[in-house]
Formats: sequence, C-alpha cells, structure tokens
Amino acid sequence: MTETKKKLKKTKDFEPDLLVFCCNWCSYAGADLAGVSRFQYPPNIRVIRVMCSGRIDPSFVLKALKDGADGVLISGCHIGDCHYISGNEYALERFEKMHKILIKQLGINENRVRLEWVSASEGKRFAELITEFTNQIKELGPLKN
Amino acid sequence: MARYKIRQSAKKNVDELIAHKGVYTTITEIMSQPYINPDRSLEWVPKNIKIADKGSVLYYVGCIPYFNYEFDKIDVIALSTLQIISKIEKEPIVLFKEEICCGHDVYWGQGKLEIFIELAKKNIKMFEKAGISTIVTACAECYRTFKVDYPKLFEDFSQKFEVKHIIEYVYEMWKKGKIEFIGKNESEEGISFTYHDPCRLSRFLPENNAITDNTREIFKEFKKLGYSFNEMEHNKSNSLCCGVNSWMNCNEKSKALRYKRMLEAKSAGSIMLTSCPKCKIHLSCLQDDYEDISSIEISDFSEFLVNHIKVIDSNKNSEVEK
Repeated sequence: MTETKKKLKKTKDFEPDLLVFCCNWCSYAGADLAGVSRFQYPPNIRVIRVMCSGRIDPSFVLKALKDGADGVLISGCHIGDCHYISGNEYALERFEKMHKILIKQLGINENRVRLEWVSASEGKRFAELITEFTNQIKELGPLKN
Repeated sequence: MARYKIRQSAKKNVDELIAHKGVYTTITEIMSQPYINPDRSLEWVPKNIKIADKGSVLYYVGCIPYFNYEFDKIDVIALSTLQIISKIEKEPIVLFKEEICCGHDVYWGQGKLEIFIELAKKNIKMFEKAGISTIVTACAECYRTFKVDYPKLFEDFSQKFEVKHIIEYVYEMWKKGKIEFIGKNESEEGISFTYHDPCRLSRFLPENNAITDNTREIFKEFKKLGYSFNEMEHNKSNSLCCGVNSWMNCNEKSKALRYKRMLEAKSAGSIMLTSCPKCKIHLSCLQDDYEDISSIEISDFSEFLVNHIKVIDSNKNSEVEK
C-alpha cells in the first residue's frame, strides 16, 4: 500500500525531459501553429529542428537516452507529403528497425521512443500529441529509476 | 599507442570519428548504467536446444544480436556456436537474456575506462549469480577482454571463471577424445581453405598462448576429409589486420589493407575462415565493391565446423572394451 502511494507521489512530482525532433516543413510548422493559435501543451519538451525526418539517425536517439532524456519523439510529414519526396519513408524504415533491434533489446520501454506524423496544419493535433506523450512518460516514470 | 591517446593528444573529441555514427558504442554506454536490464530476443535459438538461466557452462554471445540492425546473416555465428556446444555438453547451456557488452570497444576505441569498469562489475555479478564456471565465447574480442583485461582489474577473475574461445573448446574436447570430425568432401577435387587470424587471437594475446597452433592442428586433421589447409603469406601473429577493429572508421587505407588480405586469401584457397565477427563483417563488406574477390567464401570457424563434428558416445566405447 505504502509502495503504491509512494509511486503515485513519484509520478505526480516527476517532470519528464522529452526531446522532440521536428522536420522543418511539416512538424515544426505544426508546432509553430500550435503556439500561434495558443493551444496549451506541457512545457516538458525541447524541440530540435531538422530539415527532414530522414536526417534523424538512430545514434541521435540513443545519445539522447544516454544523456538523460526520458522519451524521444520523432515527427515528420505524413507519408507522401515529404518535401524531399521520400525522406520520411527512410525515417519509417530506420525507425522500425531501430525499435525492434536496438531499443527493445536494450530493455527500454518501447513507448519511450515514438514516431508520429504531424502536418503543418495540425497545430491542435501537435498540442494533443505532446500532452498525451508527456502523460504516458509520467506514468512510466523516469528512465533512471 | 592506443588510438584514443593519439586523439587526446591532438585535442580531438574521442566520440567523433567512431564508425556507424557511434550507434554501437552508445549502446555499450547505455548498458553500463545500473538501471538498464537488457531484454534480448532469443528468437534465433532453435527449439530443440535446451537453454537455462543457471548452470556451469555459459555461452557468451556478445553484441551479435545488435549487429542485426545493419548487417545481414550475422546470427549464424551465434547459432552454429550454440549448436556445437550443446552437442558436446549434456546439461543445458546458459544463455543470458540480460547479457551486457564486455566493454571491449569503449576501452580500446574511446578509452572510457570508467564505463569499462562499470560493465566489468555488472558482468562479474551476473556470472556469479548464475553460478558459472566456464565461459565459452565465439568472439575474439570478448575472449581477449575476459582473458587479459578483466584479470588486470579483478585479480580473482581468472581463478573464478575459466574462459575459452570456441577454438580452444573444440580442441580440448577433440584431444580428450569426446568428439571426432566427420563429413567427407564428396567431390573429387579437394577443397582448399585458409584461415585469417584475428589480431585479438594472435598478437594481442600473451606470448605463451597456443590458440594459433591449436587451430592449425585442427585444420591438419581436416586433410583426411578432403579439405586442404593453406597458409596465407602473412599468418599467425604476422597476419594482416582487417583494418577496422573496435569501430574505427573505415577509409581508403583500411580498405586497401583488406583488399591486399583478400588477394592473399584468393591465392590460398576458395574458403576463408576467421573467428571474429567483426573481421567477417568487414571482409565480406568489401566483396560487394570488388568483383575479383567476390568468389571467396568467408565464414566463421564455428559456422564451418558445425556440420563436421560428431560426438563419440562414451557408453558405446566402454561396451566394446568389455
């Protein structure tokens, strides 16, 4: 009983550090729209802008997890909408392999690393996504426990 | 002088210039953290082989399951090694689901001694908990790390655990008369093969080691089966390097070195054996680029031996003696 109470308290106090990779053409514009439209979302995220989601190498994600991030979100344009035609398809392929072979085998919860497509017009969706992701990581607790 | 020292003296960041953008060394660093318990998929283990959590003989797989991220058909080394050991041993082999890296690459490539010690402590704890007495590995780098580097840090390591490379293991079992080599080459022309000595199994071991000679002795036995063993021009402790140990970046110089090695192999035989996963990865990587060397078949020592080993039934022998 006391343990569960402690855990509850821990999840309440815990503020996760999340890293979000946004592609320049869709997701970053989406995040911008969320800000301009004043949709509220938790302040736990740090956004890194990259030119395309295809730029994101698994080593970036692993380094983030190593250096203390509790969760990593990769976001890009919807499939078929990529500014560079097929960059996000590469990202998807790389992500699935990374998830299955690197993250899962390391014993890190799979939900800590996610891939989501957010377009430039989906400001509301971006805000909802970040809220949902933050709550999920809060439930999982810190990676360094 | 180790590579990291050269870089440190040139005031370069040791994390830069690690091959594959540092994916594999970062994995090692994550594994050294106390809160990480890897959950490896043991999908590659065949259903007829019994594995256990506790026991005396451990097969230390190494980082092979993670290599699947970029390289194809690397699991076959782990699979054939496990098949060899399970044929010989009667009790189930220990395979850890939460096995971590031995730390070779961060030690040699980046000089991160603290992480190396952390990993060593975690490893030793795991071995002790499972009651291991013999560690068998098929990786040359893991072997050197356990045999030479761990006892430097923990003096009682070599007394507690017996470390064997699969070559040593097969050789000992063969000398004890527990196994014999079968599988005659049916074709009339003899198949010639050669062996590439990994640096970690030749010049990086103490001088009194017998691994290179043991390997040759096993190969001489294969002459009876129609496989003739030829030495390459550079062999044993003089063997040419594959050019890219501990995730060093591949460049034109290391490629030239490997190309030279492959030409030597081509003149010596049609099959080239090695006993280090990284040598296998890098030498076969070059085969995609150059057509003239693509005919050589590169395979691991255990991959080659798995179909040539037969266990001698000790009960049958004693009956005959009676």
